[in-house]
Amino acid sequence: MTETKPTIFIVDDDPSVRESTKLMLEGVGFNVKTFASAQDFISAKLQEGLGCLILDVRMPGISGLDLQEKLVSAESLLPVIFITGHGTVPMSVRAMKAGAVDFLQKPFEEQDLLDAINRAITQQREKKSKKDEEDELQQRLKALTSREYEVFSLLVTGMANKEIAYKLGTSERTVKAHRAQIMEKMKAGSFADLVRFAEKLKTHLPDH
Amino acid sequence: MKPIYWFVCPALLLLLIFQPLYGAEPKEAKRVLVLYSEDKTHPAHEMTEQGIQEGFRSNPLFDVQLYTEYLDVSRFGDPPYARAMADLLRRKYSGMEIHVIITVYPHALDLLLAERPALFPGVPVIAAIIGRSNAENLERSPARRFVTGTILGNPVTAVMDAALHVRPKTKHIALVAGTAPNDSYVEQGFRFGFRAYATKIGLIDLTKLSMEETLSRVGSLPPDTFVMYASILRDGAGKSFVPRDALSVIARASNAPVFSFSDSYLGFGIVGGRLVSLRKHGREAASLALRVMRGELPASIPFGGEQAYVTVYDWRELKRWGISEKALPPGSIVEFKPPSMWEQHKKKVLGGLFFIAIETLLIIGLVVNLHKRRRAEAEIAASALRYRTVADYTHDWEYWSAPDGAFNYISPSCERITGYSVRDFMDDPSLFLKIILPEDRGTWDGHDHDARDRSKPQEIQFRIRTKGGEIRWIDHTCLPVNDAQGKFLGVRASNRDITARKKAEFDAQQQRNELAHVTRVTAMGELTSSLAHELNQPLAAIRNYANAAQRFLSQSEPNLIKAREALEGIVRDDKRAAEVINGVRGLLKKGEPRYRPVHMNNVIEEILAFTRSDSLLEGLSIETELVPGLPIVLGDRVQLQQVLLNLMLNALDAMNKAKPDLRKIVIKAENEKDGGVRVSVRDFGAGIDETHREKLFEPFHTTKPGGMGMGLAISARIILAHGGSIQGENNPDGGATFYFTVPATTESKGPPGT
Repeated sequence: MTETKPTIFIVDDDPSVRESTKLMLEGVGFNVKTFASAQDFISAKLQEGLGCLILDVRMPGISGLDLQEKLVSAESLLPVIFITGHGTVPMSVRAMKAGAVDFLQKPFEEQDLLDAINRAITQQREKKSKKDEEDELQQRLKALTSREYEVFSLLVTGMANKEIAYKLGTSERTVKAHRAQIMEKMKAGSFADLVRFAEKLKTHLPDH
Repeated sequence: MKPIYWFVCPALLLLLIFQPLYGAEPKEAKRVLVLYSEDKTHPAHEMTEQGIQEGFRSNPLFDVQLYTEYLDVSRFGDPPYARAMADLLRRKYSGMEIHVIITVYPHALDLLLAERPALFPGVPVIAAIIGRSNAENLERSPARRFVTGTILGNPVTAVMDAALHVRPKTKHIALVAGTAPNDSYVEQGFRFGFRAYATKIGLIDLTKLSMEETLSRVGSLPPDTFVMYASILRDGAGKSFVPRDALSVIARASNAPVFSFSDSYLGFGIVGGRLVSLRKHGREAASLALRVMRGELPASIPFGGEQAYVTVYDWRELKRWGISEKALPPGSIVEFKPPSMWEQHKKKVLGGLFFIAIETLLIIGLVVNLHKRRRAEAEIAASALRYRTVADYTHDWEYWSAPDGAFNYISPSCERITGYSVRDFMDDPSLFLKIILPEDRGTWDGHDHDARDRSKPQEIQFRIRTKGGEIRWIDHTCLPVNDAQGKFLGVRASNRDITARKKAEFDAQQQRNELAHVTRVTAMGELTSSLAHELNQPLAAIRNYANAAQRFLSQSEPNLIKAREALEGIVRDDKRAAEVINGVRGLLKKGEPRYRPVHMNNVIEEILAFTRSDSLLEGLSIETELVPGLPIVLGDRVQLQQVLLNLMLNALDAMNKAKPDLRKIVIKAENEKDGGVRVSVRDFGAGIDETHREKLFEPFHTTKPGGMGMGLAISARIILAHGGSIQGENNPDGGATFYFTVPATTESKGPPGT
């Protein structure tokens, strides 16, 4: 994430499309790397950086959609722009559901591709910062004791201290003490911050 | 006319021509003087004369010239008359030589002998019909030296016997005679003859009576009497008669049968009997004369006449007197029998019958002939009718053309097929050639229509324009006609209207093409994504290149190298797009197959390029093993690609339930054993269900829910049309392999690397 200049990866079995797209994007000033097949791309084991993947849907061997699935499951943040010679609705739905930035029909407008690339890079940046924040919150969350985590879980549901104390079978004072500790560890300036953090962490919260 | 007549007729004609030569054979001329006692009207003379003439006529040696004199001594018998007569004869015949004299009756002889030697001295004499007493006198006379003759003999016995034979109970005979010397002479003969019967039979003397008296006497004769008529030249009243006329009158008046001695009286009232034949006497006299002419001396020739009799009866008299013919002596001749129709017209009838018979035979012959001919004609007509009917009712247009090109026969079907009638073709034999379409005249001219020694029929097909302007297809078969001797008799031909068949064939071909097109379009429909992809790829590239080029050129420092690279890309992908479109157009195009020499590897690569990234084939790995340098095959590129496409789509279908990593097709092109190319498409799917195996290539047989069942059927038809074969079989290690072969062209093998 140190590069400032994003790199565009093109995976297409058609050399014309591959090379022409590369030439066009190079003209705009992107770094472009091309691959003739999904397997080639996987084999390259690239370090993820700023950029996006322009992926042909239909290819011999591992198809574009298959590659996308692999990336998603690997929690890759590399945004994917699909290009296809003859796309179908189910195909595009599947791609978009899996988080594709765009689904472009060949031949595509240069601007549409550039827009998609920009969106992808923006999206990638957002995703990356969000992920960074989540990672931070997670770290903070990990600092909580288990008793504090229990109190935190109940606090963010809107329960009053007295109720929490009753539920946990302890005193209201003890709950207040935990709360202060939680606010500290979670670096929350206010209860509202704490609720927001909880929201962000929601999916990652361990089940009770 | 039968041939024999042609020979006989000229032969007869020759005989007629040469007959005068026969007649011209020299015959010695002999002059014979015949002296008759009585006058010319004496009937007995007439008969004698006939005999004389007959006797001479048959002689081959002499040309006898007869001179005849009637002395009429019965009526003018006195000596002065005899002298005058002799004088007349002497004067009359003084200028010529008489070789023989025949005298008839004794009186003429007596006159002649009395006047000799002054009259005809030395001339031999034949004394015909003289009495025995005369003859006896002559024998004693010197005259016998030059006289011979025939003796009348005694006719009475013969007559009497004959009369008594038919009238055995006779008691009386009435003798009738006149007063002339000859009458008396005969009467004496009778009287002499009667003496032998005088004891049994009484004589009624009716001699020397007047005619009236005679008639009255014969009309009232007692029973059991017959009349014996001697002769009446002159009756008792001095009246002259012709003896047989007198006999007629007497016989009519008589109440008893009348008999006499001479056949000269037969027919004038006598019953008949053994009669003296004066004719025979005449013939014998002539015969004697001829002997004398040949040199015999009269003295050495005995008197004849013994046999000069004839047994003859008058039928009318037999009837009149109730005498049965059966009572007559054997060998008797019955004359004056009213001739039966048969006898009367025997010759005419026989002739008529003969002619009728001949005519009948001829008619029968003609009728039979006619019948035969009619039957033959009928058979020929029936036969002709049969054959004509067969020919006329043939559906095809038959003809037989003569060596000169004219038509011997044309079946009426020609009108149905061509619109022109039989007459049209007969009148103008060139019409046939005129109606053949000009484009097809080459076909006609190219076949051996007039070959004379061709044994196999020739068959060609061409089109004609009918009278109505319609085009019709004709299947023409022709064969030369030769007779048993090998003579060329023209050409027999059969023309069949195969327009309907041709149209059906054409329609079927059209339908097949249509169906092939439909399945191709169906297959193409299934591959639309592939089509779009194939076109969009180069289009996308072009647009990218164009954008890049614009950008490289619009920079403050234009990057010309990159711009050129971009533009080259544009050109390259534009070409590629055009190729895709051409390929698609070819695959979608309807039409007849066009067989061209093609490289099978190129055909496979083209279809693979086209289908490379179709969504249907997505995830399908297609491997190729194309042996370089395969023979060039003669084939229709599009059709072969259709077959490949069908096989690939089938392979895909077979593998739609297979794991993705097993979804693979292997396409091989390799040398076929006998010089062609073998292409196989192998899949790793479920394989061919054995229950469907036999019907794999049948139309409308499908295992796919939405399939038409035409893919393999059409593929099989296409490969068969290419002269190849197509088969499918399961692989030992799973899946199926379909393969087809296409024979190589006769041309050289393709260059290596294709």
